Amino acid sequence: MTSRSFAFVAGLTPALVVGWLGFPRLLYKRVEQPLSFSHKVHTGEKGGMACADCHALGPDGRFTGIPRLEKCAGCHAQPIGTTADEKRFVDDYLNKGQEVPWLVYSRQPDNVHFPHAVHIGKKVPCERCHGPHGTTDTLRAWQVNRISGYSRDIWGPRITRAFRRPWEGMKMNDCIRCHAERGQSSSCLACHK
Amino acid sequence: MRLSFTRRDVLFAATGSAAGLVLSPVPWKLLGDSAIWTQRSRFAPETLRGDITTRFSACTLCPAGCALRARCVGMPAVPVSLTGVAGHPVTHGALCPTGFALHHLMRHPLRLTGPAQIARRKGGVEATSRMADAVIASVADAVRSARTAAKVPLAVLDLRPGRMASLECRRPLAGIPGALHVVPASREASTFEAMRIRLEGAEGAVGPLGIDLDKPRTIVSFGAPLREGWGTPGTVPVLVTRQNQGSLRLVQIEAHRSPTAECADRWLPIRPGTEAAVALGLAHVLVTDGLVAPEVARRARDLDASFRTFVAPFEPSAAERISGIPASALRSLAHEMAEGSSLAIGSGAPGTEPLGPEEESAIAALNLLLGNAGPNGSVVGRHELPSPTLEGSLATEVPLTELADGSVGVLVIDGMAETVSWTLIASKLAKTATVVSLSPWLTGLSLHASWAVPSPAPLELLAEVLPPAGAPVASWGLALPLVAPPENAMAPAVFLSRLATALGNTAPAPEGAEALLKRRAAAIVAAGRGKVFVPGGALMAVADAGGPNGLYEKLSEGGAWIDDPLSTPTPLLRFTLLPPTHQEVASLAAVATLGRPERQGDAGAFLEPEGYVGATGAAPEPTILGKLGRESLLRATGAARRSTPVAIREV
Repeated sequence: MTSRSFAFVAGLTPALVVGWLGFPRLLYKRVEQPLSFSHKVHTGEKGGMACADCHALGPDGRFTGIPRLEKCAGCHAQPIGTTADEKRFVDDYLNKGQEVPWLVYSRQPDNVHFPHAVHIGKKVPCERCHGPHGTTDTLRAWQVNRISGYSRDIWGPRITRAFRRPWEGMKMNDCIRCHAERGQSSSCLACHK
Repeated sequence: MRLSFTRRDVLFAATGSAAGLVLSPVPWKLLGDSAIWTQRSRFAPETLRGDITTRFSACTLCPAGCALRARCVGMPAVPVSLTGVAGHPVTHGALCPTGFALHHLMRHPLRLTGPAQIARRKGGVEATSRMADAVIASVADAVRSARTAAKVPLAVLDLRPGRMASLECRRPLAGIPGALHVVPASREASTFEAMRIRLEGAEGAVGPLGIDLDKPRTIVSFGAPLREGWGTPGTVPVLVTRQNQGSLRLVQIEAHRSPTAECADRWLPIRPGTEAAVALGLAHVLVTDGLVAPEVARRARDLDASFRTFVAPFEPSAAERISGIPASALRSLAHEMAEGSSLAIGSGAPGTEPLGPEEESAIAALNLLLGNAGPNGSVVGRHELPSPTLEGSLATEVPLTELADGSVGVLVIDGMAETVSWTLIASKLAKTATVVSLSPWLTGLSLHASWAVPSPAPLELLAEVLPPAGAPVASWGLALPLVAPPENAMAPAVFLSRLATALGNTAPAPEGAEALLKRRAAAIVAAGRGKVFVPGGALMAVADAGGPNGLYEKLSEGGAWIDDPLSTPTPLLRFTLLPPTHQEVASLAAVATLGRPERQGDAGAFLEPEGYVGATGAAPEPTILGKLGRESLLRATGAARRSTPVAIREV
């Protein structure tokens, strides 16, 4: 190998390493959730709950999102498990009447209107967009793009967006692809009000 | 082994690094994220978070008064998106593109948030903030000076007459010597108004007229933007459905290939300003080819006496020379109109001057010849909207066209819709006239003002929605405020009251919109007619609405009052085909023969304003219109290009 080739490779290799491995770590800021939460306990055999038991549509037909304290208080007025996080939830939040500042993985950008009610009505399963989130035992760290301010779940876990599974990525193209698969309209004003 | 690096090796290493970065996601991801960042940076509005509520109001940008359903966020609730009200009996849930973005206009850069002095500079106008008292004192001085210099020292041009707020503005004016309340002719209702004054009712004057859109099989439109929201945007789907079903044929007579012309079954391009010749040419064929129904001939007082003589010179070949429409096309169109139920509508194209009274007069005569004022006609009468009487004296109300040229010393323009051309207004002004605009925006007519005292914008004030032009029955609705107005915005009645005080008159304090509108509600309940629409509910009789307060409450929740049709909407009436005075007849003959030379220039570059005709010029265009215009059927094709009113004025 000539010195020129060596120099070229010596420049290329770290750039590729930085670009493919370092850049994503630098681009996304990791923020831990305020509490750990096991969906698995709630939706598994022990809890036996469905997604809609907590993430329900309100009386006005709108999606209520992450359940508020009063919903959790129905079961957790006192700790019913042994984990430290549950005890902290009861002591620091429930007893003080303070909502838990959960960080929402799938928060859409402000210019997007996503009606859960319509998608639920069309029998789109929760897993189509949220994957196996309902069966996870812990909450992964929330990652936010330092430049765009979007949650990493909008782009998807892989920086290339290659070989992604159906629920990985919530960009507009992902929405349009799903709409096309189901023969639904993709007009601008359907999502951008 | 010893490695030595030369500067050339460093250059190769740098090249390798650059190549490595290009082959990595760095530049591509940075490009996309930076683009998003520009949309989320500090100059982009923050999206509100909070409880979501639904509130109802109406868009009062133009007389259509489309009902609005607002999605609001937070407390106090702020509207973040607007839609029409499904099932609404007047607007049918439709909105024009400007109405969809009405809530954006509150924060538009051209929004005036307080009194200002307007100065014209090269390339535009400039507004300098002034204290309200200083502006009122200056306007009062101008009125005092005009008492000797002008025939009408103070005139208030009410661009939306007939409202309770209009009556309230006339109260303080009553105490100012020589002050007049001036009203313009409605652009969209002018064809029907021209018909109405020719009809002789059994008990004198005939009430307002509208259209039964289910009746005509052919509509001949003289530039009326029927497929762009004429009357209300809700008429568009009705017309589209009928056209698609084949039960309606739309013929557009217009100088430009407008969107309505593109959607018409036939477009007849004419020379600008020659509409009167075309209408009289069609009338000529109807009369000379014996196409006038015997019943219509019996009821027309002057068909044989003078009208036949009047239209004799306008044979199709003459009309062709004037208008450019082939004589054969005119003849076949007249026969087509006579064969089935047909209707002619004037008003002129958006972005151009409205048709003059002469053109409307000719179109009205055509409608009368076609039997549109009879039981089988498409034009129907309706009740007047019940109105309460106000105590105290009111300033005299006069039509704008009846003001003498050069007579007005101080003109206050109350309203924002550019439904009157500035050319007409300017002709009424004295040489040293002062113009005061009460528009919330520095657009449209306010660009010609010396002073601006902005009134609250739509969605910021309580207002009423009157029946739109061409409505077959009367209706009434409320536009509730959804956001607070700027601190220094001033309702027109308040401004006029303070102006009257500054002129040394003791003006009564304004009663307030709610009290006035409750009076209207009481008048409607007292009339005992009509039904009440409530969103999501069935129509109920007005007697079941719970009295005036109950009616007001239901209308506050997005409801609307719809009048009953007249028991005999189109009785057999006598009428005259020619205008009432010799002067008007002579003027019609002159315009029809010569056309309007001042409009010949319209044949050149033509930029058509986007948005609904009534709303155009009322406010700055919201930016979302640009996106909608590119991505929807609003996109113009062919020679026409669409632009904003501001750009058009600059051109």
